[in-house]
Amino acid sequence: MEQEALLLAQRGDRDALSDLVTAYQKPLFYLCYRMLGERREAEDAAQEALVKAVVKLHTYDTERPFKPWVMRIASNECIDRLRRRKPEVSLDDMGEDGAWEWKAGNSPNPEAELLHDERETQVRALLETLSATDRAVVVLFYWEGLSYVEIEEVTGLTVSAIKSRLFRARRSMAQTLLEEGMYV
Amino acid sequence: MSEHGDDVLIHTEAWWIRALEDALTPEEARQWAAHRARCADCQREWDAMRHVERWLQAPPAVPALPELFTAQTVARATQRLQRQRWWMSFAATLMVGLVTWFVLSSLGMAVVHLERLIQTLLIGWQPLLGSLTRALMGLSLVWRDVLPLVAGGIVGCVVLLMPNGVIATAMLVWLARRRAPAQSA
Ligand SMILES: [Zn+2]
Repeated sequence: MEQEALLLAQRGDRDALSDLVTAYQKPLFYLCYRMLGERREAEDAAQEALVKAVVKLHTYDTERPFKPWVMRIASNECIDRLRRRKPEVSLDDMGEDGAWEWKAGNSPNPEAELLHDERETQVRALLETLSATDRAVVVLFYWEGLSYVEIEEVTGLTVSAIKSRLFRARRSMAQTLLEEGMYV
Repeated sequence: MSEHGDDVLIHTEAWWIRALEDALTPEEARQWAAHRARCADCQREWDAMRHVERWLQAPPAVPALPELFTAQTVARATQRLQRQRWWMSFAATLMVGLVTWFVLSSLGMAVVHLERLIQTLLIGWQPLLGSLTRALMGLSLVWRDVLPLVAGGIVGCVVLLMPNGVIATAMLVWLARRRAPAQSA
């Protein structure tokens, strides 16, 4: 976004705010949904990230790209929310057919209907076993299609730390697959 | 190094990261395949990781955002901005109030202190000034009677305080004057 538009948004100009929200609501919601796995919470997290971005606009360095800055706020918001959650997925959640029940939090998940694909459900369940930061790195790399350098901008981790985290996350998920006999 | 000697290197995280990134050289790729052929653990884990990798390639479906999302977000942002401004102006008012109170109270204290200082000075100096004035007036009235006494006192002081040079000079002058009339006579 242009600096002038950002300045107007910071002053509370409704049109500028609307433009900013419209431009970034989708990528932020996608990121939040992929990280949190729950529609309502993802909406709330994306909204909160956008609001925080507006309020903190004066701290944004205009020399740097805006999208990673706003993605970082959203990613931190999701990491905070994931850390506040109780550990909700255990190996006992495996169904008889080997599929995981996609559980986010203690509330019944209305999004389960959306996840028709069993594989998708399994991937989500595997993702649930990762730490919040590892989950963010996996989502940003695979589903947001960000490069290592872009992930560095968003997470503040070094490229080597990102590579290491990605590898350990994949290995941990692979080991869960093997242990649970989901993959032989 | 033998192929078995490379096992330690192959079991490192760095090797696996490069293998997953398809960043191994053809020679390394050959070593890697040979290693997996004889190391069942690596082969099993590698297959599972490739499986996870394939699963992760396809992003999960994302539901659509509700229609009111933009309007609600703008409203929430506006509200937060207003609240932030209110708090900022409240903090600024509080700061100005505190600074004003501090300056005024400091000024007030300074005035009180100055007044007390002047009072102390006036009360303390009045008797001193009075006695000094009275002494000066008395002296001005009787100065003729006191003058010889004062002069004597001064000479006495000089003689007493500077005995060596003054007494010797005065004696020499007195002796010289006594001789001179005797010689001339
Ligand atoms: Zn091995």
